[in-house]
Order: sequence, then C-alpha cells, then structure tokens
Amino acid sequence: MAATLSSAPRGDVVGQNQWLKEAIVNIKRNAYGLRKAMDEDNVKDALRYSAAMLGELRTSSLGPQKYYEMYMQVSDQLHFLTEYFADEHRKGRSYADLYELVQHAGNLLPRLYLLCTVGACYIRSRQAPAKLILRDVAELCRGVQHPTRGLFLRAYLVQAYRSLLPATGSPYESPEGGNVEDAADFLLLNFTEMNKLWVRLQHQGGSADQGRRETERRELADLVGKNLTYISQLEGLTFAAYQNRVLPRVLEQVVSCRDELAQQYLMQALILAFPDDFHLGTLGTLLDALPGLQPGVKVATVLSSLLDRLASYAGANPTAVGQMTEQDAFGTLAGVALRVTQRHPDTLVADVAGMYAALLAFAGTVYPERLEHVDMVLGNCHDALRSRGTVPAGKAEREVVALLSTPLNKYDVVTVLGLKQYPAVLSLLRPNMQREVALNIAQSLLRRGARISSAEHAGLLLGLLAPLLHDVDGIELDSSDIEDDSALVARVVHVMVAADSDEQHRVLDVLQAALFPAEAWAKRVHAAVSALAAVPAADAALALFLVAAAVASESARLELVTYDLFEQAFLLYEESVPDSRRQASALAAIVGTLHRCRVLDADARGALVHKAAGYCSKLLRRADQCLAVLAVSHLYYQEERAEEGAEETDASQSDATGAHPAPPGAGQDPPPHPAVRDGAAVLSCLKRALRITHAQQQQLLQTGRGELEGPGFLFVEILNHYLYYYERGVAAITLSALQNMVDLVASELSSEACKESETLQTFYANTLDHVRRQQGGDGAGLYAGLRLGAH
Amino acid sequence: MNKLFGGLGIGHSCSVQLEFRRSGGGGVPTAAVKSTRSASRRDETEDLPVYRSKDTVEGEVKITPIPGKRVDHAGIRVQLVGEIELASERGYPHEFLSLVRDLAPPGDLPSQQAYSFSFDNVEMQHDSYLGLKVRLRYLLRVTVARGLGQSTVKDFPFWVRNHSPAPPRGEPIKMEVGIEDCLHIEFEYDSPAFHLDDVVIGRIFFLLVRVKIKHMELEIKRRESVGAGAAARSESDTVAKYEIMDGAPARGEVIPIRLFLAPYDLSPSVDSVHNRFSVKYFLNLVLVDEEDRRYFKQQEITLYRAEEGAGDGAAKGGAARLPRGLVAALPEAPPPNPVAAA
Repeated sequence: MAATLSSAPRGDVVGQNQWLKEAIVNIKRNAYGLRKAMDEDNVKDALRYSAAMLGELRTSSLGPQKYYEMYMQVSDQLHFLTEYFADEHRKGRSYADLYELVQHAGNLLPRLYLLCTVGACYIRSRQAPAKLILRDVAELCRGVQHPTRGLFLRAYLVQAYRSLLPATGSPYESPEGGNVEDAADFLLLNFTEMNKLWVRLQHQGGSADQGRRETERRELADLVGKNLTYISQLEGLTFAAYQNRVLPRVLEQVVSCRDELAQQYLMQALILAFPDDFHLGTLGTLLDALPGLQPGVKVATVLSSLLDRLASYAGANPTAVGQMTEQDAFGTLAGVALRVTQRHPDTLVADVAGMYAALLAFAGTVYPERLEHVDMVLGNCHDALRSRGTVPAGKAEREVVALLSTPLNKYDVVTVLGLKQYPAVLSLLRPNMQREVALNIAQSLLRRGARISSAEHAGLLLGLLAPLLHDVDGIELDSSDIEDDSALVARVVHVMVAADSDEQHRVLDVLQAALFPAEAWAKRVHAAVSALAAVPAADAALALFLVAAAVASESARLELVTYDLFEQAFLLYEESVPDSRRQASALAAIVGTLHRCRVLDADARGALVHKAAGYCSKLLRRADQCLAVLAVSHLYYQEERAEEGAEETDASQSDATGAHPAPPGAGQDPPPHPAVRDGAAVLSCLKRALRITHAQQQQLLQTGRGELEGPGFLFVEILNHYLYYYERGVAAITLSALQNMVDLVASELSSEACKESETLQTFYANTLDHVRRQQGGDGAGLYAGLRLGAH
Repeated sequence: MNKLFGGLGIGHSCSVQLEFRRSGGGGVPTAAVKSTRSASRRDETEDLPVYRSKDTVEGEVKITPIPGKRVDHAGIRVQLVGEIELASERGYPHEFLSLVRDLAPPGDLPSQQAYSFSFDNVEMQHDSYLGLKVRLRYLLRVTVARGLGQSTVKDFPFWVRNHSPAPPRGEPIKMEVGIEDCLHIEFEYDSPAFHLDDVVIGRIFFLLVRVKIKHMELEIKRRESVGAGAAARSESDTVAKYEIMDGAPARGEVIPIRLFLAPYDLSPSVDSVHNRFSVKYFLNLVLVDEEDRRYFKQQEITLYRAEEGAGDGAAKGGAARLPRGLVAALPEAPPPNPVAAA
C-alpha cells in the first residue's frame, strides 16, 4: 500500500502529477487483484484489494483538482464492486453480513467507501429499510473530518444514494423505509456536513495560501450545492416540508458557517434550486436571514437573484401576484434593499444597481399599475448610488443603464416621464452613458409611436434627451453621430402633437427653449443650413437662416452669430432669390425676423435695417414695394414686448421643475438692447409708402387701368399703419397728419373703382369702425377731434 | 528433537496416534487457534478440537510398533493435563488438572493396537490461552512406559472454550478528558462489557480542539499480568487498531465509534487464574496530532464469551436480520464546559 497518511506539504504541480501517476498505477494494480479475487470468488481478498485501492484516497499530497482525478479513477472501479456484492448476494450471502464485513477494515476512509457501496446495494435489494441505511452511512461518514477527503467521500455518498432515496412514489418508500422527509433529512445532513468541510478547507495550512484555497474552494462549490439541487428534485417534497424542515436547516447552516464564499454561493444556490412559489411562501424567513450574513457577502446580488425569480414568477403566474400583494412583498423587499444599501456602505455600485434593477423589474411585473412603486425604487436607488459617488465605467454603468431601460420596455415613454426620480438617477451617469440612455428613450418613443401632447411632457422629455440636443463635455462625437442624433431629435419633435393649438404653442415654446439654447447648436445649424443653401433650395435655406437667427438672437442671445446668420440670409436673398414674388415674401420674412431681434447693437442693427430698407425699392411691383416699406417702418419702432415678460415666466417655470437644464452660459447673457423708437424714420417710411402708392396710381391711370382697386388697398393699409403708430404715441404722427391721411383715404376710396370692390370697402369700413370704437372707448382722448368724414 | 520427530516414531520403537471422538459418533468440533508450537510465527493457525467444561473427552489411541520390532512396555496410559506455563518458568509448568486412564498393563506389543479411553464430565473451568508470557493449555498425554529414559511420551493438545452468561450490562462508560486549554473531549462506550463477537458502540464529543489532530484510532490492548505480589510482571500488547477519525475535527463535532470485535484474536478477560496470571482488556482511544504526538486514554472493558446463539447472535440465524449497531442519530454535542473552554 503506497499511500499512507502523509502530512507532507502539497507539492508543486509536477510533484502532484508524479504522485497521481503512481497512485493510479497502484489503483489499477489493486483493481486487477480485486477482479481476480472476484473471479476466484474470494470475498476476503476482494475486500482486501478494494481497501488497498481505496487506500490511495487517503493521501494528503494532492490538491482538490488532482484528488478529483484520482477519485474518478477509484469510483469507476467501485462499479465492479457493486456488481460483485450483488453477485455475492445471489449466491446466498446476506447483505447484512456484507454490511458488517466491510466494517472490519481498519482504515476509516476505505471502510466508509466500501460501506457506502454495500449499503447502496442493500437498499436496492429492498432487504433493509432505506432510511436506516441512509441514516447510518450519513452518520458514520462524520468520521472523516479532513476537508478534501470528507467532501469527496460525501460526494460519492450522495451520488451513490441519489436514486435510492425514499421519495414519494419511489420503490424505496414505505412505512419502514421512510418517506420523502427522510430523504430530505439525509440530504440535509449531508449538506450540513459537506458545507462544514468546505468551509474548513479555507483554514487549512498557513494564511499565505488564502487566495489559492479560495480558488480551489470555488471549484468544489458544486459538490456542496448539489445537495440542495437534489433536495429540490425530490418527488413529493411539499411546501410545508420545505418551510418547516428544509429551509430552516439550510439557513441555519448557511448563517452559522460564517463564511463569505459559502454564504454567497449557497444563498444563490438555494434561490436557484427551489421553485418560485416556495420562495414566495417563505419570503419573510428568507429575507430575515440576509442581515445575519457576513459583511463581505454581496447581499445585493443575492437579493437580485431572488427578485429576478419572483418577477419572472409573477410574470408567468398571475395568481402569484395576488399572493404577493397580500403579503406586501414589494414593501418588504424594498425595505430589505434599503437596509442592505445602508448597512453595507461598501457594496459595489454595480451590485447596488443590479439589485435595484431587479427590484424595479419586480415592481414593474407585479404592480404594473403602481407607478409610485417604480418611482420609489428609483428614488432609493438614487439615494444609494449618490452616496457612492458617480457611477464608474464598466459593469456598474451597464447595470444602471439596464435599470433605466427597464421602465422604458415595461411602460411607454410618456409613463416614464411621470417618474419624478428618473432624471435624478440618469444624472448619476457619465455623460456618454446619459447619451446612450437618451438614445434609448428616443428610440423607444418612436418605436411605440407614442405622442407627446403636453408642454409639461415635452419639457420633461427634452430634459432627458438633453445629451442629444447639445454638446456635453466629455463626449466626442463625429459628424455622423451628430447627424444621427439630429435626425432622431427631429423625429421626436414630430411626435410632439398637442390636442389644441394653445397647448401646441406651449409645446413649441418649450421646444424652442430646449432646442436652441446654445452657441454650439447655432454653429451646428449654421453649418447645416449653409450646406442646404448650396443646393437649389434657397427659399428653404433662407427661411432656416432666419429661424436660426431668431433663435440665436432671442433664445441664445448670441450677437455675432445672429448677425452672421442675417448676413447669410441677406446674401442668399441677393444671390439666389430671383423671382419677384418670392423676393417679396422673403423680404417680409427678413423684416419680420429682424423686427423682433434685440440682441444686436445699434450699428449692426442699423446696417441690417438699412440694407432691408434698400431692398424695398428694388422690388419690382410697386404694391410689393409699398407693403415692404410699411413693414420696414416697424424696424424703426420695436414694441416693448409683452412676450418678453412671458418668456421670463416660462424660464422660471422650467427652472422650478428642473425638467431641462438651463442653457450653458445663460447667466452671462447680455441684456437685450432697448427697443428702437425712431418716430421720424417711421414717418418717413409711411410717407415713402404713400409716394409709392401715388406713383402706382399714376402708373395705372396712365396705362389705362385706373379702374383697378389695388392702390385703394394700399391706402387703407397705410392708414392702418398711421393709426397703429398714432395709437402707440409716436410723436411724429400728429393728429393733423392723421386727419390728412383720413381725409386722403376717404377721397381716394370714393372713386368708382374702389366703391365696386366689396372687399376693399369692408377693409376700409372695419378700419373706420376701429377708430369709432376707440373714440367711444379707451382711445376717446386720443382720437378726440378726429373727423372721419361723412360716410 | 523429541517434538519434531515424535510423531514419526523415529528414535522410538513405536508411533503413537490419538483420535478425538464423540460418544454419539462423528468428529469433535474444531477451531482454528494460534499455533501453540513456539517456533511458529504468530499468525499461523492450527485446527484443534474444542471442548468446554463438563464435556466428556474421549477417543482412541493407536500404538503402532515399528515394523519388524516388538515393543516391550511397562504399561500404556493416557493423561488429561491442564497446565499453566510461564515464560519465566519454561519447562516447569504448573499442572492444575491431571487425570489418568490406564490403557494397557505392562506387556508386549507385537502389532498395532487400539485403545479407547474416556474422561467423563471433566471440570475444565479455565479457557485455553496463549499469550506473550503465559499460556494455559490442555492436552492429552499418551505414555508408553519403558525402561529408564526409554519411554515414549506424546502430547495431543486440545482447546477449551467456556461460555459464560452475560454479565450485568452495566452503566455505559462516560468520561471527559483533556489537556487544559488544548484539547477537551468526552467519550462514551455504550457498555463496559462485551462478548467476543460483540460491537463496541460509542461516540466522541469534541469540546475543545486547539491541537491539529491528524487522526484518531481506537485500540484494543491486552495486558497480561504474571505472578503475584512483588514478583508480578505485566506485559501489554495491542490486539487491534481501528481508525475512527481522519482529519481535524472542529469543536462541537461528534464522531461515531462502531468497532466489530469478531475479526480480532480476543479471549475472555480473566483474573488471577490460579494466582498465576490475569488477562485484562482495554479500549485505548488515541489521538495523533500533526507532530505525531499521541494523546490517549484507556478504559478497561470486560470481555466474555457468550453462549453460542445467545445475545446478539440470536438474530443471526434470521434471514431478514439487520446489521448490528446501526446508528439512529448521533446526539448533539453537549454544551462545552465554560471553565474548560476558557
């Protein structure tokens, strides 16, 4: 017998291999002797050779890996022995005798392997009550306290008896042979003992090898875990038996072993092994065990597994939901999750996030209509994560992204917008990850074809999409990314459709505030529109330049950008708008935009206004010229804008909700320049308009088209402007000037041509009505003394 | 020389044979026992007839003269001898039993002659015993008496095994032992007395373990005490070694003991046989640590030979008997003694 109890330290790999090689030679030699003895029907020799063969397993010179190889060699041979025992029994030797006989072996380990082998045959023959033999072998195996040898012995034990347990319906079940509870007891005892040995393996030898031993132990974990798997596979194991017999003993052992690795592995194994309804029924017990685990155990991971199980169970099994609600499963689990994060401040962010992701999935599945649950989970998660700093790259980040994606998949985006804590959690991510989530949100929104129908939702959504809207520090994007982002945002804008136009307007306001806040954006738009201008779509490009200019001016307050955009628009007007009608409307657009523009200083603005005024006279049709000049008059008289106040209100609202971040640099905006009030210039414009109208009148008369009412419209239009500026108190427009104008229009409109045009007369009558109403009302003082003639 | 060649009759004028018989016919039961020939190795066995006290020892003696020779003799007789021989007094055994039957008066033996003999209801209260320093043996001695120094003497050993009734079961042996702050165990054996085919059942509780134990075994030790008073000498040997634990237990572990006695060469415990010797048995619990230090505690047990078919053996005949000594469940370890643990 080459193997002896050796206390020599485990050699290096080479040494172990050498040892293993020799041991296998010995095993084969003894196996040969064993088979020869079987052929010769020599029981004594057969047992002697078996014991010698099994004696190789007594070595201390092999690490678990090599020991396992040897164990496999030996256990192969034990099959022959099983047959031999059965054969002996057929020849008339009782199993009881054999069972005693093998116990004569002087060495413990061979004796117990032999005993297990005979015992299995014994039960299979059904000549002994299964439970007696099971109990006996399981108890006797306590003799082996050496971790590796004990673990493998018990692994052999459970392997050999797995099919011989008196589970319900098994041939070994009987009043004497025991029932499923005895079967469970056997596995439980074995589980407890194996776990003790497994834990003890960590404490073998010096502390220098802790790491290596931990690795070795991980390799052996399944040997222990199998017991739990087998218990869960027992036919007829009732919930009551699980609750009263199995779970308490498993938990007792897991908690009392005080070993991180074991607790981590076994809690997970327990959760994976047993059915969901068992977990649900024993939720309280299971959760109560968690605080008792070692500080290093990743309770969050354990809880995640449990939550995953429960969530998928609830998903597949609607009746379970009722049960969960009844026992307030969510409240309990959320409470435990909270305690876990508080009690273990060193829990990894990834684990915290994973746990909350699982809790979220659970809440979403079990209580799909209880959004406050989801929000609460997000809130707790945010608190837990915030105290742990920013979410680091890698697994943690992916977990948080997954967490944030769960509600998107579960609900539609509009519902997610109702989750108040969602942006808070999102803000914990690094910018590029925020962008990932934003993409997710946008895509999810579009995929589901949802509509954003209120300004509030639009604001919240745009807040979430912020990383797609403007540059963020820390993200480098190439142009194709920007294009993709812009396209996506554009599509999102198209689903912002409110039910009524008021709301739609508010939506657009929000949109404008969110979309056009930044210099960087302006640059982007500039580039994009310039590209557009290069192709024959000048009108569209011009319009876009103007929109951009308006935004740059009114929202972004970027003076130079604004000027540049106007410049581009003007250039485009000059070079690429050939058609006179389109020129007229383009000029109107330019003037309209420029009118509202407050960001430019006087010189810059003056240049643009001058240019625009110049364009008027270059228009082909005199009617167009007249209208354009009238429009230009407004450039000299800016309103003290009511909308200015309104905008400020908007801004304060959005700050309060925190739905979208303020545009970068908003604090340093220059105050808008004061409104331009140039009465003289206004009057000169009006007079010029009048001149043009007269000229047109002459032109028509001379060309024999005097019957056309065209100039009549222009006269009324001019009158309206006079009234407008008069009412606004432009000093240059005196009452007498107004009176002259009224008289002039009255006389012009009395012409035959004008009298025949009903439209014109209505226009005129409405204008006069306006004045009369003013005279009878608010404007009585202003209009005192104005005569409207005898119509 | 006498022993070696005696059976063949070389150097003698005749050969002597003896056959044990039973009155009802048939052979006498035999048993394999350690060879009594002092020159042979310890593990060799020979088959000897087995008797017990009050048996009738009978048989037939055959005297065969060497062909072509006549045997003149001064009488033929057979003796039944029980003797105790100590190693220190070799050659001068103490005979505690001696019975004689004359088979033939002095005369002349021309050819083979057979003589029947019988010792009825012989009182043989002591068991045969072969130990290290002492043996107790029974034999039939056939003597063909001749002139001075010419007698032919031949011994025919047989074995005596007496059965005794089971002693009162007695309290289990329980004991707590230990080395302060180092090792505390409590062990128990279910009984202080066992028959020779018995099973020792017991368990060991580990209350405190601060030494690195490598393994633990249970030994059966036999102690022969020879002589009496001041001249008494004792000799121990280990009859059995049985490993019961492999590796180092943690505090709180309970290790089962189940030792079948049948495979070992044991004899009943005896005390002061004719004031010549005693044989005592002990269970020795040995713990060996990683530095091969041995911690042990021995407890005397009483061995006896049970009536065949009595006691546990009763079940043996039944087809459905269960193995002996099956564990129901090991008890939990008793709470450790706080003082000892401190």
